[in-house]
Amino acid sequence: MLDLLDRLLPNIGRYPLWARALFLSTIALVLASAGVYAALYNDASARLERSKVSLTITSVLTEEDARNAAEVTGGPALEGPFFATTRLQVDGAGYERRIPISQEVAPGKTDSFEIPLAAAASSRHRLTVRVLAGAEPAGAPRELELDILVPRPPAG
Amino acid sequence: MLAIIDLLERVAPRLEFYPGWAQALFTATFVAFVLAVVVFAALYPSRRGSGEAAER
Repeated sequence: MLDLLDRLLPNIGRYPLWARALFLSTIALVLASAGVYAALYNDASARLERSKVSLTITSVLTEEDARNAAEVTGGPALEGPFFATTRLQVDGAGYERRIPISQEVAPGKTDSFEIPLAAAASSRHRLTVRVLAGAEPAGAPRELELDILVPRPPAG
Repeated sequence: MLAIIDLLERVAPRLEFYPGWAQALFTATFVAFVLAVVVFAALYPSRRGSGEAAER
């Protein structure tokens, strides 16, 4: 790193004034952004937590579903899937979110997954939930209406 | 690589929950950073060349 700086600094002095002003402004912006990011991190995290909701959907897989899934996964699936928060669009329409599930479920058995959903603001969502085993649908799609309430942060 | 992906997953979900002015600041920083890298790379050969010429 020091060697890199030694190589760069002498050359920076030879750049035009406007370019050096750009470099200096960029450094100032990076420092300001890092400071703002750190200062507001707890507030942003609290808003993120308040915006989370969760759904529970149960789908019983058939023998054919298991075969379809095995064609794609090609072997035993991972244990204990972790799902990152799926963000829904506040003003979106006709978009799709795919959530890969890598888990082995025996035919006729059920398993449960918690998939956190979030939206940036209070909003109403009409969802069509499809469970796919491999590339084939497992069971009929489920129509859901979801109201997400994001409380305002306390005043002050 | 996994650490970088984990960091992005931790940072990205929170960005939209920052105030608008903070998001504008982050965007301006990103744009300025990209612009600075481009300018630095575009002018680097000529700056280095003129420096070597001056040393001769």
